[in-house]
Amino acid sequence: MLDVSGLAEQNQITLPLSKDSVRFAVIGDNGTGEAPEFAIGKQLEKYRQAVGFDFVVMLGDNIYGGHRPVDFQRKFEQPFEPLLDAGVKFYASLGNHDDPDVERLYKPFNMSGKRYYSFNKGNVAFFALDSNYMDPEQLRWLQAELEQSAKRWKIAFFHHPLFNAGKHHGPDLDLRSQLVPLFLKYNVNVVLSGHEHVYERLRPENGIYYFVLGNSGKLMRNDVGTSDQVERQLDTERSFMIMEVDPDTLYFEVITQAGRIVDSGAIPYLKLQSK
Amino acid sequence: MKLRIASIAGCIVVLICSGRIATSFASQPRDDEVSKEFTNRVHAYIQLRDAQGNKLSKPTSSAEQVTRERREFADRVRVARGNVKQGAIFGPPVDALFRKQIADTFAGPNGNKIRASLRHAEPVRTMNLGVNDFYPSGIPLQSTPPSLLLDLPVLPKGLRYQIVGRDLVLLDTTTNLIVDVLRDGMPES
Repeated sequence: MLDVSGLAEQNQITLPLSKDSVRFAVIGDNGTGEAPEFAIGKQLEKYRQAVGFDFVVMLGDNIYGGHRPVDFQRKFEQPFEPLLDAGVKFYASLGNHDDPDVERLYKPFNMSGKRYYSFNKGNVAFFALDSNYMDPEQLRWLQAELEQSAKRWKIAFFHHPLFNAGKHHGPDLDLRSQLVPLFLKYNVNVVLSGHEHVYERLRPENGIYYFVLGNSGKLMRNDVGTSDQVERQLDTERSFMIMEVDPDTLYFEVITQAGRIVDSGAIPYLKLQSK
Repeated sequence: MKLRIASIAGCIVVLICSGRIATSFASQPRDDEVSKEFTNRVHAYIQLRDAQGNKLSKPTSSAEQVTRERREFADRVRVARGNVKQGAIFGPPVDALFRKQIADTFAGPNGNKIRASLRHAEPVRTMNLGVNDFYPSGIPLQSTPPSLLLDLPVLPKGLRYQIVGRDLVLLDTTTNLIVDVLRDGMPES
């Protein structure tokens, strides 16, 4: 059962901060270069110093507008300068505002020159997908990667949400029809997406937990409609997420640019079915 | 005598019609022949593009290097394709095959999901993109529905089918250049 313990006005960190857990941050739709993104960067650094994490997962729209060198400086390098200086690695997925062939070759995004890729951290396998262009080759690659992964936890992250109560974009039904069967078959535990400029924690679907976090730079106020899909949402402030994964539980906290914890919880490991 | 003339005339008419019908069967390429033609045109483009020498293949920490080398490569490709006109890839008979396949996909079991995805995905307004132009800076990319990609011919790395309004654009992301455009290739929603 999901234990939701974090609500507004709570500033105490609820993560267990276990010695061997995998801990990371999540940002989405950050790349504006505007003051709120810088504020998120500042909070992120405060959290890095408080809880310790050494990588960040990016949910796309990493750079808005042009992709000139000055855009990379203003919209990524400067807002996250303290983290980059501390050696924190950023793993990017591609959004619809991203220039795929510039960003995949930009080393600080750690994409290894690819539109989609996977990496492991401890007992967690991460799958960064390109949801702008989910061609048959990418689907075959994903299936092969999921099949051969022996990691206990599997987290997929990509830009376009499969489940989403936001009014501006909504869910991508066609993408859902292609990805969910793979996620169920190969026991993906958590799916992280951006695109909708809000935060949403959605009701688990067939044992898989879906989060939308597209408000780390952009924000669409009052965008989330009433929906029984949504267990918690934030569409009035920017935010980022910290996740901590130990063998049996995934913990998360969602923090605003002002440093308030607006959601937190614990997701137990669940074996969905055999491959 | 009149009957004989009529018979001969009738035979001539039949022969003419047969000739015309035989001619029209002979001039209609089969779908697999058209697919092969499409593949050949795409590969000809790839060969021309790669002959211009893409220096950038490995990630670099310098955004300046990535953007500069891609722009220089793209400029060489543009010059090499200087006389290209719309239809170089999607021209007849390829256009008919694509229009038919796209229409079939939209009429098929995934059609409604594809339409919904296109509406939700941040549709890109129609722009009059020219062949050999750059995809405009700062304009987001419409996501291409995976069910549609399952039904279209597979493209080499770096090329993608990009939907812009109702146009189907063949975009080369390695250069950010428009390779060709199929105007109104997508059905009206």
